[in-house]
Amino acid sequence: MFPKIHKERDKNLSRVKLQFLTNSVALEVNEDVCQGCGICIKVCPKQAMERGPVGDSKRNNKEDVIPTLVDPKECSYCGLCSYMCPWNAITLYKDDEKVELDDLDIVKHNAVPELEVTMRKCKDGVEDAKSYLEGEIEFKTENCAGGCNTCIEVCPTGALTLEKPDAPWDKGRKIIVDKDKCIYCGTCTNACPVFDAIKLTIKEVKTKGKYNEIFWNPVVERLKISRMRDGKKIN
Amino acid sequence: MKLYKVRVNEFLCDGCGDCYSACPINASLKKKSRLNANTAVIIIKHGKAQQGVDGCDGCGVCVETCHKEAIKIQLIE
Repeated sequence: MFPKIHKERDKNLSRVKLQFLTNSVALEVNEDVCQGCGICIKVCPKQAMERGPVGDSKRNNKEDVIPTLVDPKECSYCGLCSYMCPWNAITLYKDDEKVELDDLDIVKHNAVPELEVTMRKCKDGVEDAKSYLEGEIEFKTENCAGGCNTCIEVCPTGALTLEKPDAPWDKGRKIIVDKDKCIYCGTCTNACPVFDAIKLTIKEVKTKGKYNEIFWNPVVERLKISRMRDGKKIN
Repeated sequence: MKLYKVRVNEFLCDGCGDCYSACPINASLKKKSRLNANTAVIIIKHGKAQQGVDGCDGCGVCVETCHKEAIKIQLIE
């Protein structure tokens, strides 16, 4: 019966596809480029995306762990996630042809405004990131489990460092954020195993141009949520 | 919805308990003094590590810590 749902996984590409009788749409996540920031999970209007084990996939790059997963039944193939992804890790395909970001339907019909993008350099082995968010990030070290260092290792720009302790026998616990490097993508909040150790507040999404309020306003609201997991708001 | 699970290779695991103490979720439970065999995510049972309660977050610390490379995190769909 149509539409047929395909789920494929090549070495570093996970793909979901909806095949109609004569045409098809597909969404592809490049796992090598994806950093697991979770912006796609936040903005998805249908909440069709879920997070995988982010920390493990970034630490070990194993083949059986994916940072983000797409539910092919829920996805509406609008391409908003590919538009918002800072690393261009997600691509939308129509009839097996790649859809460029400017050719997306939501861009053509002015549902979303143009993002004021500044390119930021990331740490070695990670492509440059689109930065369009402004905000604040706060580490509550008293809630931190201590010593797992997941946030430092997943940070795509290398903005986080561990403070050197005063005495050599002390364990360094405080995490310092380099505000020139941080792009407020939220990878650390997405990967942190403890619930309320990192608080990210997005103050501004830099945009210009016309947009559809009914579509775009809820997207901005969801972007401001500190941490999204299993489609539920946690803090 | 749980998507991933800790898988321990029982032939390699020697039950040292490094993963039990390194797991950040276990550590945060320990802070609230609620850590026991019924709440821990990784438990040591009969001298081998194994998955306890569902709640693994996929941070990968246990995979890093294990000196026998016996732990894997696996996706379940």
